[in-house]
Amino acid sequence: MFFSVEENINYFKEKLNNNFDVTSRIIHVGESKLGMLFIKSLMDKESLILSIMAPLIDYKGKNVTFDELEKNVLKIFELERVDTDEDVITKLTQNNLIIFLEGEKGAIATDMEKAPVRTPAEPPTSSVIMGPREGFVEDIKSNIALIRMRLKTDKLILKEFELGRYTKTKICLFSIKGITDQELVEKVSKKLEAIDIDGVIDSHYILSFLQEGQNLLFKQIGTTEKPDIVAAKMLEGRLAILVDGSPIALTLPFVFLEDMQSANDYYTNPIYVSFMRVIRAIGVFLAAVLPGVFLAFRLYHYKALPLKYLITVSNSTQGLPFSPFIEMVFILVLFQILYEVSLRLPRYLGIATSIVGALVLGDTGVKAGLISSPVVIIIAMSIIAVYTVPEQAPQLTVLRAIFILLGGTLGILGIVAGMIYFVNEMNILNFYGVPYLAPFSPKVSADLKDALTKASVTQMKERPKFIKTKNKVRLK
Amino acid sequence: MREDITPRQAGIFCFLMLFSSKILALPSILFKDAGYFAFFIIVIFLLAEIFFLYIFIKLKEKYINLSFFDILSKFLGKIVTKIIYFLFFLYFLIALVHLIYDNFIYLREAIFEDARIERFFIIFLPVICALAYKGLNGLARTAEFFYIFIFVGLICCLALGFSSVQIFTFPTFENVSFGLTFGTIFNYFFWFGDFAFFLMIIDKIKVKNGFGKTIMNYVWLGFTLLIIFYFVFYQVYKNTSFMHGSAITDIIAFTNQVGNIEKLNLIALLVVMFAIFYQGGILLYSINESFSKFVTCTNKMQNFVAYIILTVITFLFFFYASQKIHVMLEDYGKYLAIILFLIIPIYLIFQLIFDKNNKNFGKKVKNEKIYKKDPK
Amino acid sequence: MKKFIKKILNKPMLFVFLVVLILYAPIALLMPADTSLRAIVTRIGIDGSPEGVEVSAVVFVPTPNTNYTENYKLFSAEAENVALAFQKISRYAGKKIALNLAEMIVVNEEISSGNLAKVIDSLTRSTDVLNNVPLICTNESAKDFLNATLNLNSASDLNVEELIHYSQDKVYNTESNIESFYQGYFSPQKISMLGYIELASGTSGITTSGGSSASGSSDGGESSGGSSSSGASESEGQATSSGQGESSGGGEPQKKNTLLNEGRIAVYKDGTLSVVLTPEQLKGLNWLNPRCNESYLTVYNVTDEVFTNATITFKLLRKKLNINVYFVNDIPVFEGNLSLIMEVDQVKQENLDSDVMQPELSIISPELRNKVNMQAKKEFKVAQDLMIENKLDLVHVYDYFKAFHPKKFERFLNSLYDQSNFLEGVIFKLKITPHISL
Repeated sequence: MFFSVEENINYFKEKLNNNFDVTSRIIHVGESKLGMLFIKSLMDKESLILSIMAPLIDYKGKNVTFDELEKNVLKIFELERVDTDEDVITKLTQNNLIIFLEGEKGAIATDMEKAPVRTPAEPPTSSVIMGPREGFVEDIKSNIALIRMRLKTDKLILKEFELGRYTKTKICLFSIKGITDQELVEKVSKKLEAIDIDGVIDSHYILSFLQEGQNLLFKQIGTTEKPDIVAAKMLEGRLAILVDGSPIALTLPFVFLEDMQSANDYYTNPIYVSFMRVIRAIGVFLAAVLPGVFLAFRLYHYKALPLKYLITVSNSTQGLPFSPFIEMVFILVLFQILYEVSLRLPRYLGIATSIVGALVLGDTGVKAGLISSPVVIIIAMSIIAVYTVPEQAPQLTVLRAIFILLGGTLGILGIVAGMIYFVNEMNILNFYGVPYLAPFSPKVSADLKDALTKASVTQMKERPKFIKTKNKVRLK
Repeated sequence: MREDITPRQAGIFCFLMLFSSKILALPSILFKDAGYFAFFIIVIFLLAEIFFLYIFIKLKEKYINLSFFDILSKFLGKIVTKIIYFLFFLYFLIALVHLIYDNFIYLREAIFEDARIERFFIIFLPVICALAYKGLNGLARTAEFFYIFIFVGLICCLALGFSSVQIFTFPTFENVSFGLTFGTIFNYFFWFGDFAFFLMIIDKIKVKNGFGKTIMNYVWLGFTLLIIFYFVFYQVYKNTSFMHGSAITDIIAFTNQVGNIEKLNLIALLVVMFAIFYQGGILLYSINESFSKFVTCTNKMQNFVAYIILTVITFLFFFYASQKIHVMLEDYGKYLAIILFLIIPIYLIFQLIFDKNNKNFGKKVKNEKIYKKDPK
Repeated sequence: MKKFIKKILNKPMLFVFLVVLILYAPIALLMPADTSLRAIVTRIGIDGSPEGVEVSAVVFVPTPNTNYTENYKLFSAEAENVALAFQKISRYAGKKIALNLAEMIVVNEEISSGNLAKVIDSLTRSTDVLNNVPLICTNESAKDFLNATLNLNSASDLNVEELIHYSQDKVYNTESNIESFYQGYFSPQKISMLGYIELASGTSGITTSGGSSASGSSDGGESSGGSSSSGASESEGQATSSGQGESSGGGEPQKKNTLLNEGRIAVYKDGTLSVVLTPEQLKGLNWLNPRCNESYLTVYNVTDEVFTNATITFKLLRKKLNINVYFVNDIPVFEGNLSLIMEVDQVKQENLDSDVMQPELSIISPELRNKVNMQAKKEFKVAQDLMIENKLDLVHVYDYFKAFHPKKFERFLNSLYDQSNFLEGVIFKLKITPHISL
């Protein structure tokens, strides 16, 4: 840092590689010389003019000091004195305006960022029929505001972290004093502080560090794009993490049951919701296991099938060039390719792809005798069923593949063995002290009110027992 | 993770173990020897088992934090206890191998035509190893998770079987005698050691108020279902009961709707398939516990590998050995069962009654504070 | 190496899974469907033959089609016993026989004249054939019977399996399957009953088209090449694909291709065919069958306040049967107390007036009651005479007395010269209380 404004400006411009969007302006305020340095691409020009330039130009005084600027001149809320080179560079990279004064060492930094921000809208991954439709955006300030709108309590604690050597991403950890377990907060805070990474682009970067153990198949941290869900989860005893630049909030501790619940469940009739949750459970089962079971029966267990069914399937599959296993794998790969294509293709080409996929590959393939209709139906049912619980789609897709291999090589006993093994694996998981399959195993009767079936809000008087919290009472 | 299970989970284990092997070949085998009186033999057997389980629960109430090894060592000394644990190890080994073999025969006949025993072994053994090795907690929770499906499946089988009964007939008990009854009981003693595993996990059950009652509730539920099962089976098949070696599947063969729906035996098959993994897991865990007491291995993994190798060797021997050895093993198995499930429990009863330090025996537990003190 | 072992120990199940895949996946990838490797037998027929038995099997042949057509072929083989005959059929079909999905077994009278239990022993022992598979007897050869059924497919409404299921419930009022056969065989009286469906000519019953193409509508090309679609010669083991009934000879003027269910039942004593009951005898027997709840009863020459010399047919809706067994002066009495709920189904009278034509007859007059009683007893008498004549305890007299009065009954039996003829000494009583359904 220098006493001369020009020297400061040249020095820091050089530090920022003389990028073209690093802009400077020198003005005279009274008899003082004042230099401004900022990155223009993210600068709120309107605020700059109204809050900074205008008051400076209108200043009638003789000389101005930093104190004078802070207290009387600049019409802005956030002002910070910075004294070191590193701080100035950090503030510059965080899109702050830096003001230098001739003859004074140090500078003033003020946040004048105006980044392009989306308006909170309904997130595409969780739409509701009735209920709030706001979703998180990429800007952490807007997201914090969305949560604060719902949790208007003095007990809301926000802890800020800055991660990423190059990205300096802001992370915010939310907890509610008296509800969230302090040990959990400290544990997570320590983990966050220990992260030393070059950049954090999305919340999923943080997620990997927060995962316990080496288990990578089962989801360990909850994710959501909706502030109402975050608020509800925090009221149950969980903590939430927001990452600047990501619309996905993280919540933990997480149990498998959470993905079986959707936002809609809390805004609809409980009896209907109970019914739909059972359907979701069946959907999960069909998604993971159905193709493997079908393959097992075709290859090994004709005895267990009724004759009429066997006749229909045998007639449909007679004369095909592929073996049942290869046929199933082929159709599965085909459907996955179609799915991947539908994700990446521009919208206006999507219709053509659907037609090609459904009609040409499906219908024509059957008529040409390359694939059989029962297998197409089974795979289609399985793929559709995955989206009863879209949050578990990656896991279910992998499990489906595993069960197809098990069913094809070992038959129905292999599938049963696989199911037992995976459930056992899930049962021994305890992420942040919470059993993964709670409240089913270990059975916590009180928490079954909001498990596979749902009781009304008036009956849920206590917070979930499987999450450690001091304040258990929800409804008095 | 701490290895302790809730009383509910212990009760579920007892429920599952009650059904091992009893719903397959045993009904027909018993009928062959004892006719309709087989029903009463099974009732006698089950009641005896339940009584001995009750004794084990009382043992637990008295010696809350002690393992069975510690309890027996107190009375009999370490060497005798190690010998007894060796016998338990042998019993569990034979029981596990018997379980695998019986269920393999059943599944091969039911749906796994042309399957070889090696394939069955490759599916079965790794999974029960994973269940046993990962700890009792995981095994207990998984059993708890699937318990409802197994229970509902059993109820479905019973309900369907009940609807198959055309006319209830009165059985005749010709040629029934005291000698026949107890001869049959003696011959089939090997099949009734279902609660032996309880002694191996006795120190791992969390003690809460009414834990014994919780366990017994599940046991009585299992007993009731099993009795109904046998009753329905003998009513459906009557004098041809000896021809049906897969009782749980055959019980639903004559359901009235079979003509339209055709194949309901899948329900029974799934119940058996799910249940055998838990039964195998519990038995393998018991093998682990008994083995680790008389063989001192420093490493859990070494211990594990050692008894897995022994299990595999026993199994191969059992399966590939001649029929004579097969029968001989079952024959000696019953003597082993008599020592472990008759003599030792009776000894324990005497110890409980006459042990001078026993102040709490027979008294109802009023609050949890009693359990916090170590009786040592 | 150490690293590799450590990796395995960290994730042992992954290692096991990989080993399983390496061992079994290559075979599984190329394995055809189970049904391609097996000949699915849907119907089985057993006849006697000079060699021992002739077994015929209707085998389902998967054929690609989208109009629900099913194709079947008939294979037959002669051998010393059923197990060896199936082995031969496996050879002829070129696939392993799968009996688990068999829906029907037919035997003929000839094979039934020996001990049927010994003949079908293989079917129960192998556990492939389920014990609930219907087992029936027929008059002609089982092979001709199966030939006639070739055109009937399981998707059609009219098929012989449905016929048997219906008959079990409504006609025979008893099970007619392997299990019921063995239950009777191992009972104290050793009596079993099997359904009897005739193969006849004519148009009553289920008439099949005679099987000019046994493979159904779409497969004329394959089977029209002659009687032997597999190219084997016309001797034992030919794959007969035509439904022409060629084993019955080429000179018969009328093809027997009608499955006629007259309501007859074959009675076996100790595994051997004893008698085939006529519909009248079966009807009489069903009065004391607690499973029989639907039947018809026709009374003649009824004259009371409402009817004049009328013939009335009642439909029996429900029946409550109470069997009492007791001794009177050391003579066993088998008493059946029947409470019948009936409705009038048909009235035949010279002049039909408004009273007669009313849709529901609510009161049953003493005369009518008497007529009903007498008619039922008359019908039962027919069955009773049959039982006594053939020494067949078809109403479980023995079981009832053994259950309720074992010692007295034992004394009674010991007092008889010929214990197998004990029915002669039993008094049968039938007390009927008819009610009209309101």
